[in-house]
Amino acid sequence: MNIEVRDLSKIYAPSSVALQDVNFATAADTQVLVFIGPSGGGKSTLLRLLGGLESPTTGEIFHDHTQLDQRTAPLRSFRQKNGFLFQQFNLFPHLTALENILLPLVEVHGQTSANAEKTALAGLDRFGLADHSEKRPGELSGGQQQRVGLARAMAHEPELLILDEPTSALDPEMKAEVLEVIEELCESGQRIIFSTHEMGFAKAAADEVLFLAEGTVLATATPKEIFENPSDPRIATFLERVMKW
Amino acid sequence: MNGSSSTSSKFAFVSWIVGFSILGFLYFLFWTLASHDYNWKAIQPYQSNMLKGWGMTLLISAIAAGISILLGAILTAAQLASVKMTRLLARGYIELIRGTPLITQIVIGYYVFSVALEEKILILFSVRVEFAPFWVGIVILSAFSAAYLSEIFRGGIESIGKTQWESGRAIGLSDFQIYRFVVIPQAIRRVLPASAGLFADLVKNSSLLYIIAVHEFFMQTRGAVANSYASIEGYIPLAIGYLIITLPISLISRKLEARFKYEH
Ligand SMILES: Nc1ncnc2c1ncn2[C@@H]1O[C@H](COP(=O)(O)OP(=O)(O)O)[C@@H](O)[C@H]1O
Ligand SMILES: [Mg+2]
Repeated sequence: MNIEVRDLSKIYAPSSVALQDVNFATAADTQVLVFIGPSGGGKSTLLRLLGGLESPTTGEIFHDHTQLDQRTAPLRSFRQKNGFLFQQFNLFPHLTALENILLPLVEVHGQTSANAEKTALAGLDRFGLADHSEKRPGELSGGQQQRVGLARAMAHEPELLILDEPTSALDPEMKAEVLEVIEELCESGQRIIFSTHEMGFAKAAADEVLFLAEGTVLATATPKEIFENPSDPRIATFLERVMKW
Repeated sequence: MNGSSSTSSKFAFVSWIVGFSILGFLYFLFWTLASHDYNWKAIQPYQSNMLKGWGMTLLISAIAAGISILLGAILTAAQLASVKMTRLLARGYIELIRGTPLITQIVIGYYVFSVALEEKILILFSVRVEFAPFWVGIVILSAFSAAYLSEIFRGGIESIGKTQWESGRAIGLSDFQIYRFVVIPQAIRRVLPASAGLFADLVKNSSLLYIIAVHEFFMQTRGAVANSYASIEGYIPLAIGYLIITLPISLISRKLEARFKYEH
C-alpha cells in the first residue's frame, strides 16, 4: 500500500494537540504497517484520520496517490471500504455475534440476508467462533469479542484493515489467541495498519514501523532498523523501557 | 470491629422502630376499614355508572398513552435536532408543561384554547363545531405526558455510550442508521421502567378531567357517593379500580424488561 501524509495536524483544543505537522510516506511494498510509541503520542488519532473516522485540522492524506476527500458523503463511502477494530466495546451488546456481522453486510453493503448469513457464518468459522454465533457479546470472553469484531471488520473484504491496540484490554492468554488471528490475516496478504504495545509482535509482523511520540513521527523504518538501530535516542529509551520486563 | 458492630446494632434498632411504626399504621388502616359499618346496598344502584366511568378512564388512558408516545418521540427528535431553533422550541414547551400544574393546563386548554379553536374554525370554514370534553381531555393529557415522556426518551438515548456511535460509524452506518439499529433498540430497554411509571401516572392523572366534566371513574364515583350518602363503599372500589389498571402496567413492563435483557 502507499500512504502519504502531508503537514497533517489534529488539534482538539489549544491545549490538546494530538498531531502536529506530521509528514511521512510508506514504502510501496508495505503490506503491514505498525504504529508504536508512548501512550498519548497520537497513534489512535492518526489511525482515525487515515481511516476517515475523523477529519484533520489541517493537512492532506493520500491513499495510493488519491487524496482523501473530507466531505461527509465521500468520507463515509471511504470508511465503508475499510475495516476497523478498537481496543474494546466494538460490538453492539443487543445483537448476537452473527447479527453484529450481518448488520453492516445487509444495511451498508446491500447484501441479501441469505448471502450475508453465508458470509458471516464463514467468517465466524474462520476465527474459531462457529459455536458462538448465537451468543450476545455479554456471553463472550474479551478475546472472543475481539475475534467477532475482527470477523465483522473482515466480512466485506476491506481494502484496508485498521486495528487500534486490539489486544490492550485482554489478559495474556486472550492476547495470544487474538494475535494469532491477526498474524494469520497478515500472512494472508491483507493490508493492515495497527497500533500496539506488543513489541515482539510488532517486530515479527510489520513490514514497516512508524514511531509516534508527542504528536510527531520520530521515525518510519523497517522493524530491523527500529528495534536494532533506532535513529532517535528517544526511541531507544522507549524501547529499552518497554522491553526491559 | 467494635465500632462497626455497635453501628450495625444501632441500625437494627432503628429498623425495628421503622418496622413497628409501619405495622402500627397498617393496623390503624385495617382497623378503620374493618370497624366500619358497611352499607353496600346504598351504592348498588350506581354500580353500573361507576363501571362505565372505569371503562372511560381505561379508554382515555389508552388513547392518551398512544398519542403521548408519538408526541413524545417527535419532541425527543426535536430536542436532538441539529437546528437550534427546533431544540429551543422543544425545550421551551417541555419546561412550560413541567413547570405548571396539570389542573391549570386542563382548565386553560378547555376554556381558552378549545373555545378559541372552535371560533377560528367557525370564522375560517363557517362550520360550527363543539369539541367534546372527552377529546379535549385526551389531547391535554397527551400533551402533558408527552413532555415528561420525551425527557425519559432523551435520557435513554443519551445514556447509550459514545463507543456505540464510534462502532456504528466505523462499520459505515449513517447517523440515521445508528439511531435506528444501534441506539434506539438499546435505549428502549433502558426507558421501559420509567415509561411504565409515567403511564401509571397518566391513568391516575386522568381523574383530574372531572373538572371539565369528563365522565370518568373519579367523577362517576363522586356522583355515586354524593347521591347515596355512602362514602367508603364508593372510595374503596375507586382505589381498587385504579390499581387494577396500574398494577398490570408495572408487571408488563417488568416482563418486557426481562425479555430485552442482554447486559450482564
Ligand atoms: N477526542 C479528543 N479530544 C481531546 N483530546 C484528544 C482526543 N483524542 C485524543 N486526544 C489527545 O490527543 C493526544 C493523542 O492521543 P491518542 O491519539 O489517543 O494517542 P495514543 O493512541 O498514542 O495513546 C492525547 O494527548 C490525547 O489526550
Ligand atoms: Mg490509543
